[in-house]
Amino acid sequence: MNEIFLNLFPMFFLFDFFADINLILKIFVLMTLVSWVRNHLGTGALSWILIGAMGYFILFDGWAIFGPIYLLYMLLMFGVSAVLIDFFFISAGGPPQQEEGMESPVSSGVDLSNRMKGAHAASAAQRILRR
Amino acid sequence: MNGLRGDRRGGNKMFGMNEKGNILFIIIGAFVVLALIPVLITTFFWPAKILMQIIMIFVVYTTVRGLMGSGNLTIIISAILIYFMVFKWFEVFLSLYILQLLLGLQFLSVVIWGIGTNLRKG
Repeated sequence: MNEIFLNLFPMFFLFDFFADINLILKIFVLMTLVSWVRNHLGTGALSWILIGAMGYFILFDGWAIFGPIYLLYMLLMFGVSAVLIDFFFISAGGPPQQEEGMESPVSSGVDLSNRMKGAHAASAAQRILRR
Repeated sequence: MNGLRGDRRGGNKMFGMNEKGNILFIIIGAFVVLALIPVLITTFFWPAKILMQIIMIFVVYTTVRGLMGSGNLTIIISAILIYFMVFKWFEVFLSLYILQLLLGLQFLSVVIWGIGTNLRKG
């Protein structure tokens, strides 16, 4: 019966998926918390009390704020910021417009290839003139 | 009129767009294709699925043991995570795992650079 509902309504599939992702994320947060407290306090009674108190506060009371923060922390830890920098700065910006005065340094792959094309054309023209 | 056209062209360039289309969307599309390739391979070639499941089980267990140390709790948490991540939502987490792997090797930066450079040539 459950399978029929899942096949008929994709919304149930989504709810199920997000509930499972939420659980997985909570387990990872709990493990991070346990590891952090144990590293600082060792395996004593105090550390278990602290794990319990912080665990309740982070996982249940303030999960709406701590869940996204942990997700962001993990993404940054994996190096997503480097991809964002590439995405918005390297892929987006083309070479700057040429202005009079000093020549600008090479700013992108396209700029470099254009300059190389220009240099090739200039040398070909010089060769023709020499003949 | 000419100036307006020039401004529009400059604006398009600023946002990574050119006559061949929006580069940023094509880069996102490339990421999606990269994430879908392992899913397609494991769907049509079952030994690859078994192999990837074994690799992911090891990765999950190693991660949990690194955070919690050796003990019964580690095995229980690993079992829960392995059920959800390796069996129930295998395709989703396989894509994420491959993307994480490529991210760690800085391969996604190469993809962005390659697509951006090639498309802007026109």
